[in-house]
Amino acid sequence: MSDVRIEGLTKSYGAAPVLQGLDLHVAAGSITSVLGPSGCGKSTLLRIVAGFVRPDAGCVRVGDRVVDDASTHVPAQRRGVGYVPQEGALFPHLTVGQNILFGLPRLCRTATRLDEMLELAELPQDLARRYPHELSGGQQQRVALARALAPRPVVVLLDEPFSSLDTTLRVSAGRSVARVLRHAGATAILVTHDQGEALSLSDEVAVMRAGRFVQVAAPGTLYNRPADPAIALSVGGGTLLPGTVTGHRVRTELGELSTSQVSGDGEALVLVRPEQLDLGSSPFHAISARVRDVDYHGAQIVVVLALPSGHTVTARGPATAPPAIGDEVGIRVLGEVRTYPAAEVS
Amino acid sequence: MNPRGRTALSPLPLVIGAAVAALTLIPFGYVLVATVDMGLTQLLELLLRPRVGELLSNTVLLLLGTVALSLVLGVGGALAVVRTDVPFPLVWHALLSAPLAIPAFVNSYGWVSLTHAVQSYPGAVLVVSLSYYPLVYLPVVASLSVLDAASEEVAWSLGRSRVRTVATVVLPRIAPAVLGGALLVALHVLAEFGALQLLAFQTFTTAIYGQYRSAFASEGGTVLAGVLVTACVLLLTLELLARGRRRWARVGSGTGRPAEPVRLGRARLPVVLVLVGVVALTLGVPLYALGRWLVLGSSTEFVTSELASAFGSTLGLAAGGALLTTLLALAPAWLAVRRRGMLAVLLERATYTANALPGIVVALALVWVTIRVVPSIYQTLPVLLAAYAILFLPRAVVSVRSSLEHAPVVLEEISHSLGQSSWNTFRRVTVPLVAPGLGAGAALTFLAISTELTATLILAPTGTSTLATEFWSDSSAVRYGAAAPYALLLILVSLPATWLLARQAQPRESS
Amino acid sequence: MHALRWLMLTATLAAFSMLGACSGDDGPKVVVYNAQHEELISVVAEAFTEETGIKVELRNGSDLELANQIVTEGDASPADVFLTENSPAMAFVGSRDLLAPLGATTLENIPARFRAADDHWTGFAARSTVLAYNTDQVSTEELPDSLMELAEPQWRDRISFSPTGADFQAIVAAVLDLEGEEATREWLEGIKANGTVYDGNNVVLESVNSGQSDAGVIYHYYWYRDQEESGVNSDNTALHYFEAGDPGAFLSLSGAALLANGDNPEQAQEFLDYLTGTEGQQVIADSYALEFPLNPAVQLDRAGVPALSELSPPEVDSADLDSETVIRLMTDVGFL
Repeated sequence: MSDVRIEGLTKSYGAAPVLQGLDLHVAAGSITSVLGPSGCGKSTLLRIVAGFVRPDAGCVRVGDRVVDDASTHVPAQRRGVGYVPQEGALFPHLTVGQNILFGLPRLCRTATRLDEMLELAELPQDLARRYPHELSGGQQQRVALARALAPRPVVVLLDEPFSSLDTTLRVSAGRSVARVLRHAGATAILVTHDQGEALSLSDEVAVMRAGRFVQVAAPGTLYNRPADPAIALSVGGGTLLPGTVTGHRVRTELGELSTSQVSGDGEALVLVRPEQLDLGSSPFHAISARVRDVDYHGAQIVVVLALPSGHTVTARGPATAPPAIGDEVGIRVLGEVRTYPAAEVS
Repeated sequence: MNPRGRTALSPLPLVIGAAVAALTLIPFGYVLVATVDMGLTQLLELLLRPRVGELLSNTVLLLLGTVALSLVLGVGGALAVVRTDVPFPLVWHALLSAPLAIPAFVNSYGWVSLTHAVQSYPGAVLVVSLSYYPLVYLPVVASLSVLDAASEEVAWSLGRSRVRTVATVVLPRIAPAVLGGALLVALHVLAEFGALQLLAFQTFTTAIYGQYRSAFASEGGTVLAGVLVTACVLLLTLELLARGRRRWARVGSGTGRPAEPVRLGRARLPVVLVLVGVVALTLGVPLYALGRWLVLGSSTEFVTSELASAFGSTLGLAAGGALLTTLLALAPAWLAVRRRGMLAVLLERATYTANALPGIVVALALVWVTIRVVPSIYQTLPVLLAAYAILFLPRAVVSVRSSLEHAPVVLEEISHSLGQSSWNTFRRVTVPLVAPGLGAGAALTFLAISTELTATLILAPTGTSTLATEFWSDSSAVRYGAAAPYALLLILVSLPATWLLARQAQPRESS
Repeated sequence: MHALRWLMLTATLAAFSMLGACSGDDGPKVVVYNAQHEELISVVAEAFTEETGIKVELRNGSDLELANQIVTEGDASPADVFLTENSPAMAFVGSRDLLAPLGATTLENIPARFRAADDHWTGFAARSTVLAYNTDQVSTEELPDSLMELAEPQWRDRISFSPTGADFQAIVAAVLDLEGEEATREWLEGIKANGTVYDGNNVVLESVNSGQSDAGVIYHYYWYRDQEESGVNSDNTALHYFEAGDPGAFLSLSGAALLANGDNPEQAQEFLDYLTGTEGQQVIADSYALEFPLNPAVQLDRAGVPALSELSPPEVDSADLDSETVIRLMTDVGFL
């Protein structure tokens, strides 16, 4: 397995810039997610790494081999980069077994290899003779992955692989794919617009917006220290409130909160995650707010609260003692908060 | 949708496509050279005369009439078979596809020997449409069978009647199939000679033969051929505009759910009667006429060796020609669908021009070229097969192109990412995916070649006799009885290709 | 994919079988481009091969294909002998200087009036122009003495003919030769106004038989052949010969010629000697063709068919017809 290094990647279609100078390093054997809304250019990035599209400028290196730069373009078939597109795109005219062995040289298309791959992809042996249309969506996805992994590619690319699956299937399919990838020790780049998928499946997440990476970090870092308020809201969600920073203290409508950030004093926006808000009636729950809305998410509830100033905040907690709409409740903030200089958000 | 760029454009398909286009442009070049040789004054003199206007209006009227009637019969038949609870849909499907196996001139011959009323404009429209409507019927059946019912059901739920649903939701979605079928009918009618000769209806094609027959290598014939090519180019441009920039590829999820058949209720009997009527007209009349000649004709004889030899060479020529033509069709069709550039479209369209030229012009052009450039292969099989390819390439390109349009590009990309070269991808992914189109193209070409006359006479190795040459030789010598067995064998030899086309379009069995 | 494999297999098998059929031995042979009816000439060719041991490679087609083909081939033509169904095709090839002079035996076999003046081609069979009429719709008193009468108003919407064939062109050429250009133009305009155009003599005959038209201009043998075949297309009709010397009594010639650049000139000459000699002419006379043999030693002896000597064709040099003017007139009138 090799690492992937992307430097200064640029691509436009006509006058419309799609990628505007991307840099990314994917370590060997790791899974990196590229997270962003549709149309941000993430699929184009993947198609460039796969070799389907040639960049306007920049360099792509797989291991120690340059596959794309100003003078080089290695065609897709000589890159050794596996590709799993949306909906799997299995060859409809071939059986599952033929699909999986498709990329291997004729002599290597053996039953042993097929069994290995089926086992790796957690698929039952008797599936090998079926045709793609006889499979469920999740199975199709895993066959597509097995097909991409069979020739032992240096890198595997997954383009929104779970977007066609329903929500419950998505989680289990995602986990199983990540497990297969780790088991195979593959370097993988996964493109998705689902932050849950990105955070739970990958070692690193690259957040993309309008053709640029705005933050590349491990899931924990991304969640705890989002680089800007927009990332914060798209990853994990929460509420932004105005505040005033003095050293490691921030004064807000929710009281004086602490932050470990080193930043200049003055006006700031303060990020409060929903799970940081604790409802209760103890003396520590000094701030009072009115319940606007209560949403049930299985064992948890999400409560929307209106503060006296009119700002609303969102809290998440166990569904054991839910408040009713219109109730007056006390709230407090747990842990440290992130602050962003007010000028950054116009 | 993601913007799609292409990389590493291999020049090979373009080179092959250009070679195929160059081959098909040989007759066009021949006509062009002859026209330029003539000089403007003579050209205008030959062009601007009442006869040309008369032929033009005849040709256009015939084209409009047959396309319209073929659409009515083809779409109507397809809706009845696929979308209603008419009894025995598969039997009707076979019967409605079967006219493809009866060559148009055999059909005309049957009609003319029954009534001379068909030797008129309405008669010509009727008889030619009865021969060619399956070219609309088959693609429409195929397209209706895979149409997902969901959008139709939405339309009903929004309060539309079933009839209006068909008009507003179903018809637009089968439009590509209808359009493709209509183009095929138009191309066949433009090139039709034998049937129209029997129906005594003069078009550009029959007039060109008349010119070559009376005045021989005449300037008049060449000018008429030039007009015909122009008409063909116009037709192709119209079709290109009509198809627009849509794409039809669909990935995964398989085919949609078919709609519930419409219950005909009291309309059932009338619908069945109409179908019986169509079958009687398309199959009953020509078969009855052939049977009558077999019994009445004193020259009727079954010389097994002659019949077998003509049958064998027809089968061989048609199979070889169909194979070559279909393979040649791959490059221009692939370019048109996958590259979609100006050059690609031009190359693809170039392959259509020869279709408008009568066999005599194409054959003489090849005589002219081979005898001067490669005399050693003159009157050998390869030249004849090349002539077939030039004449019938469009029929194969239309089929291959439509199946390519339905084959998702992503599958080819996957194959590349799995380390397969362009050639391997083509062989292992593209060709199997377009196999139905290749089969249909080969079948259509097979049918056309088995009835081809003029190019076969001029270019075949000396001593070759086919079912078509024998049929014409006997029937023009008033030996109708002797001609009839050849006509029967022509139908027989056409059956497998017809069966293939019918089976591909087969509606799914509904309970 | 199965269909394609099947196709490939069939094509390969058939290609092999055809190659086998084509690979001839290297014995003496003659290549004949035959635009006469195949059934007729193949019988003559078989008899010729039996007699001489010279193999005949017969390439069949019609005047349309073969004349255009020979001219397009030019000097490189593989043909040794060209046989036409009618004279204009031969005149066309002759006008391109592709024919060689005929040998003495052939010239002796056929009377001079059935040969080209320059001895570059000869007739080997003839057919007479006739009027086929529907016996229910035309009374014998009405029958015209002359072909020219068909352009007159009493025949309006009653006649049919096939003007695009070379056959009709020969008839027009005879009219032109006898009546002059102006009269020919008027006659063409007249029959265009009066008649229905069909493609082919057999279609004309059928239309007369079915009553679509009252009378049609055809060649005699179409009627006799149909009678021998079944009568289905001619039982309601009878034949009328135009009066002696009329353009309508014109005899059209099927021509035979040697190609100047043929590879087998001796065998070709031998074939023409045979074709015009008594044996070959007898084969034609005995065949289904019902055309008149031209060697005076042989007679068409069939019930109901007049002898060649009974016909009185006009004094027209059928070998020297002005086809250029004919084409121009027919184009002007709008037949082509």
